[in-house]
Amino acid sequence: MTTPNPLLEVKGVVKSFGQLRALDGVDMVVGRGKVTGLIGPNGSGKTTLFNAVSGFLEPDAGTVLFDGRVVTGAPTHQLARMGLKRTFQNTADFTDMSVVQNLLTSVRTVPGERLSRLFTSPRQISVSERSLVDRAWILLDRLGLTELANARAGDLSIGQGRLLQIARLLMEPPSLLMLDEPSSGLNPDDQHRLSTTVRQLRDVEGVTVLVIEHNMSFMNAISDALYVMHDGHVIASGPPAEVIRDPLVIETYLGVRSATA
Amino acid sequence: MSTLLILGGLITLMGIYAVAALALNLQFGVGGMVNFGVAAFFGVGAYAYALTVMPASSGSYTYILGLGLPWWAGAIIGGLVSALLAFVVGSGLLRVGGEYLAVVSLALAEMIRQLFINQPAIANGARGLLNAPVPSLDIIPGRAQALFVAAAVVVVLGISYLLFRRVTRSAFGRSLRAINQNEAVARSLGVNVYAVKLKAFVFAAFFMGLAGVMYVWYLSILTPTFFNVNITFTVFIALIIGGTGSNAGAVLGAVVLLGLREGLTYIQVDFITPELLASLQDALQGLVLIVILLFWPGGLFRPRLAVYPPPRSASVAPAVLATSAAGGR
Repeated sequence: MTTPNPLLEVKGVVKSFGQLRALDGVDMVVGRGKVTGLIGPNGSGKTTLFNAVSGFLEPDAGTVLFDGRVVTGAPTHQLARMGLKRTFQNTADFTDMSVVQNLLTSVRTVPGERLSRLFTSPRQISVSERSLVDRAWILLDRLGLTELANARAGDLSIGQGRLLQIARLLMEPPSLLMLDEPSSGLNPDDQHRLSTTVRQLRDVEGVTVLVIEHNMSFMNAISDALYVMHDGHVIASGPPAEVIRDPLVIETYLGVRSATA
Repeated sequence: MSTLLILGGLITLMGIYAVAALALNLQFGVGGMVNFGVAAFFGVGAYAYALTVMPASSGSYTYILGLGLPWWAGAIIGGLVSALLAFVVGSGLLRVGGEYLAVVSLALAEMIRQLFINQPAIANGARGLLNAPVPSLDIIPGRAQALFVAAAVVVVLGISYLLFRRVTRSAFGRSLRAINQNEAVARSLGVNVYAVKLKAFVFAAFFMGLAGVMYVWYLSILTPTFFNVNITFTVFIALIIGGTGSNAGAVLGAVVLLGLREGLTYIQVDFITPELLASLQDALQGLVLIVILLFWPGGLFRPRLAVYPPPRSASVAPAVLATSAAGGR
């Protein structure tokens, strides 16, 4: 599969934990403005790949290119400021803050973020705060969380927490949004709302999305390309309809052959 | 008059600890940085003040500097020297796990204290400095100068409170709180964890140094025994009693704790000797901490979450309300 001018390119990335080669030479290309899915059985290395790309783990070998630049091993906060942002599989809310406050934490380009400016430009800061809060309310509306706006984030359900994680990243839309199992724990209504949001992000705001997911109907609804991982390798990639018919994928991931044998 | 002076002294002491507790609240309460070296920053500020405002040393009474600066300049220098120490300590230790900061800061405080004791050339060693100049106005009669000091401390406390409130309510304060609650997630949102922590640590240390300066205003003498580890624990206990994470709680905790501690000294009973009194004060401090942790684990003052109203603009508000009603759970 050739993708011209990809947003993210992963070349031969290796990551070992002791004897375990969690990533064993992974190659991946994520096209601009596309939703790329990443599937594979538990333990196949999907989240490790996310960690290696987002700066949480430094790869033992291989290269990560983001927007044409080599970013292998770059610090997470710098990648985020460059526009590469991710969610986490576990709930990752700031539990002792309200939902709105959680959203406000994700904006880096405000004057109030700089300690020195707190005392020199108070007016500018209060104007920017107000517009941030307005933006937070609009995003909460988009994800159906307005009723919880002033609730403590720690009191949210797992599904609501996942939506909150996504809303938080959209305060400053990234160019690459990496979602780690976003639909797990969501009820069908919220799943639908989420897939609609992801498609809107791609179609309206041109956000590129890389998503790990087990829910195949969710994946089919949103993805333009699919990668399948197994034991630290990419075993198949291409358009979703082709990939899920690949015999190797069916054997390793869906386990059909072993079930019928 | 004497009642007024006693009250002035009490207010001074409360104000000193309240400023230190506000500073610790930013480091520990909001930012989760366990600084067991409060006494070091307090002491360094106090000595920097005394050494810059006192006249040049003469005779057998030796100390360095002795610049004879005005009290307000010495106070600013006291804060800055403390902030500089925080920058040195923090730039190394805030990169690694929080437990390193706790252990090293505790050791640092004792090391600095021993340095002042064992190097008499710096500040007259264990015998300390006497008659350090304190803020005064010529028009105030002698004994009432203590009230002027109390007023100055209250003004410093008021300004400090407003500054800390500004910081904790800002985007900067939110980032610091986010780091404390989940550092990995904060990082993934683009927060430069190390830089935010270091700035907060240094900013707060300025005020810890200032608290030390005000301690010299209160006593006008300064010996290394004054800034031992008890200061650190008193400030921590004040913050925990008042409400960790809350600026108002930090002030309230200092007022309550110092009120109780100093209140004991006015109990007129024959068998209470000064030695017994000191022990009773420490015991009371521990007892208050236990009671608070049992019955109000979050401290006396637990702020509620700030409520953010929906946008006022008509174009957004109805849409928000309509959707939330339709999608209501």
